[in-house]
Amino acid sequence: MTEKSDATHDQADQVLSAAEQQWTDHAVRQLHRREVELPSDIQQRLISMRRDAVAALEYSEHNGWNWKLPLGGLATAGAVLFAALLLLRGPVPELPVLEGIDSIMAVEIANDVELLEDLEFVAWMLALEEAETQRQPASG
Amino acid sequence: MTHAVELNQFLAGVEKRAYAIAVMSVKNPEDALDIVQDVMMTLASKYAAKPSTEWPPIFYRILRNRITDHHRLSVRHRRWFGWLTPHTEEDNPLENSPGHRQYEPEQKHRAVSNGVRLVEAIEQLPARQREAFVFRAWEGLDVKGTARVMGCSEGSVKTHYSRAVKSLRAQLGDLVYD
Repeated sequence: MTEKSDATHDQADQVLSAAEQQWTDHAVRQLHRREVELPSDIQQRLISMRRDAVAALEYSEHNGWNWKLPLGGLATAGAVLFAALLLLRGPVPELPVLEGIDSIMAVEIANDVELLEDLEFVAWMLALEEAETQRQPASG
Repeated sequence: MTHAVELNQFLAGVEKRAYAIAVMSVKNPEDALDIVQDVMMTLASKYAAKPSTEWPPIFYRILRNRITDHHRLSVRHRRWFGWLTPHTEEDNPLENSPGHRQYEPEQKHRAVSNGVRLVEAIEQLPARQREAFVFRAWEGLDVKGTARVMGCSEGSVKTHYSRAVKSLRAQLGDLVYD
């Protein structure tokens, strides 16, 4: 670690004087010695934690695909089934286009049953009036 | 080399230092162990796929965040439940400062030789200076890596680090020379 510490104190990073750097190197050596002198029970617990972390990684590396594969398979099968259903349904029947009414209006009107009934009534009235006007000259 | 083997080697190299840093910051060995365990598991579960050269700053960044979280929780706990805990002499920061701690001659020699005084002095540094010294000098991260861990600019790292060294040197003088 000391070698790494010394190596990283390159010129670009240098913020300490030579004396300060020398002092820091000694201080860091003392700190590294303290690391080694940790109580053995703490060292054992750290080793055990490390093993748990590595085991967790190994488990995810080996078993990570086990649950992803079926999910991926299911998603693919679903997509294929959906595409097949679309193809089997054939062409979607086109809505009848009314003269002077664009398709969006037609859809909106179709949604409103009451309005549709009113329009039918008006159309029936107009047809009745037309029939009467045709009858009047004939009778007159 | 598999990720697991690489991770094992990396953690073996940093675990004791991480524990020492955590204990220095939270002042409680059990809490420090919990923090280190959490950091190890987070690195293994979320960041192991990253290149191993990126692990040191990531590891220490997580460690720093966990220590900060611990302090936040402690402050919140003290705010709500502080009145339940009786104050002890150990709570007095002045009593525990390196300048105030009294050593017998033999104790003093032992404290100096095993770096106790140094650690006490580092503990007393302002948080940012302590972090800069710990990550830059102790862990040996470069300025860029230290800046990533501390979440600040490289210039800021240099300033905090320089101040930390000056402050420690002023307090301890030649005590670090063996």
